[in-house]
Amino acid sequence: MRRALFFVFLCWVYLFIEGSALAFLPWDLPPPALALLMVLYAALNPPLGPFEALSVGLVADLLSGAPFGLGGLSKLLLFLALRRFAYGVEMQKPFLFVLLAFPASLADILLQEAVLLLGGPRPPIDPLWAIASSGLTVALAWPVFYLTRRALRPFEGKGREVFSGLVRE
Amino acid sequence: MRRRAPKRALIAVLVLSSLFFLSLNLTGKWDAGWLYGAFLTITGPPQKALSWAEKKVEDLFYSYLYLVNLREENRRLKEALKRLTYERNLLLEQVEELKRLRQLLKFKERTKLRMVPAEVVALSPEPHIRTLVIDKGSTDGLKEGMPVVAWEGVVGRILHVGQRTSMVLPIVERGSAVSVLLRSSRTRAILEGEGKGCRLVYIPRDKEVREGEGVITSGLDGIYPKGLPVGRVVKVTRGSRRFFLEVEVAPAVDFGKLEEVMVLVGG
Repeated sequence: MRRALFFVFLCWVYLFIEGSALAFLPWDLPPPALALLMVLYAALNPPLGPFEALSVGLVADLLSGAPFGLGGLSKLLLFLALRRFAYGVEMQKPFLFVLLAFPASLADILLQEAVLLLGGPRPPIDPLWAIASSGLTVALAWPVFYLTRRALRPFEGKGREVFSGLVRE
Repeated sequence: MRRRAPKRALIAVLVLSSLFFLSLNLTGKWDAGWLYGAFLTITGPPQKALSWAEKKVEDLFYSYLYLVNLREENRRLKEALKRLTYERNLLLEQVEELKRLRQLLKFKERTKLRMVPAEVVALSPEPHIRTLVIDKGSTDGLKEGMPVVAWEGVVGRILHVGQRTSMVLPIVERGSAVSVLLRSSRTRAILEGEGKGCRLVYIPRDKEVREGEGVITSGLDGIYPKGLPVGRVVKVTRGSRRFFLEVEVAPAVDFGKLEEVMVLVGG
């Protein structure tokens, strides 16, 4: 429980710093999807589970002003897909993390766009914007992985697995 | 190697609960404004502190690494230019109003408005939605739906209010809509955000719209007072098979340089 709370708090800190920093950067700079990176981290690192992924999405919704539940739903679905995909893939976690960051980020944007379209017609997202955002997400993937792993080190070996597709015995 | 069976019930509950909240929110049956407000209230003080620290670092960087006087003069000149642009836009609108013998009433309406200055302290960290966070909230008299302007024109409206910070939905954001008038032809339209720019919708093909024409608020949406500059028409397309014109609008406000805004809190 403490690990889950700390993980969500860590995500809030990342997004909080990102939002504040963006105010000083050019308006046209697409924001990297740090919340998505946290979900990706959770997907590759059991015992972090779907509850954490959902919470990260909801925190992102509250910080961005997106409809409540939109990010939660997309992050949860992505978490499930990523964990299923990552299961059985023989690769070191940091490499897999960076490798999956780009497609996962694009999938997250497309998923949220699709859900929003169900609510009514709206102009589509600029594809270049989405690609640039995903590119920046990849650029930040390694530092986020490293920082998160360092931050969660005190919790290693603690907690109960709620849902783990990656555990091998 | 063994894969544990996922706790399907837990996953189903989580997916269904997020779907439930989302559908309630999108259909307008549940107003999550209080939740955003509470979150903004919690986030507000550290956000202001961080913004202050970032500003100090930025100031230090510019002040010591670049020429202090030139930067200060540049800032003052830019400020003066912004003010003059704003005043020019207002004057242009007032000329139109004089022609229509309504300037006195409009002037009264405009002078009744009280403005609360605010600073932009954060942007949305998510790529699919662009919102701004300003350093004023309910303690400063701000409420949801209040218009936010800059010297150049309309910025957007308040989306959620916390105690000391608020979230602003800019006019360029997708899903944002403003009732507007074309300055010269007085044609009414709806201005919709497109992410990077804006477009006018529901202008019949037979209407005359010229590139360069100013766009102002019509006041019909009950959010923005009439006559505030919104932008300028940059491209008009007449599709032969379309009922309406396709009109692209460049916003009057340069969102890339937006630091200070004003919230119109009413009379």
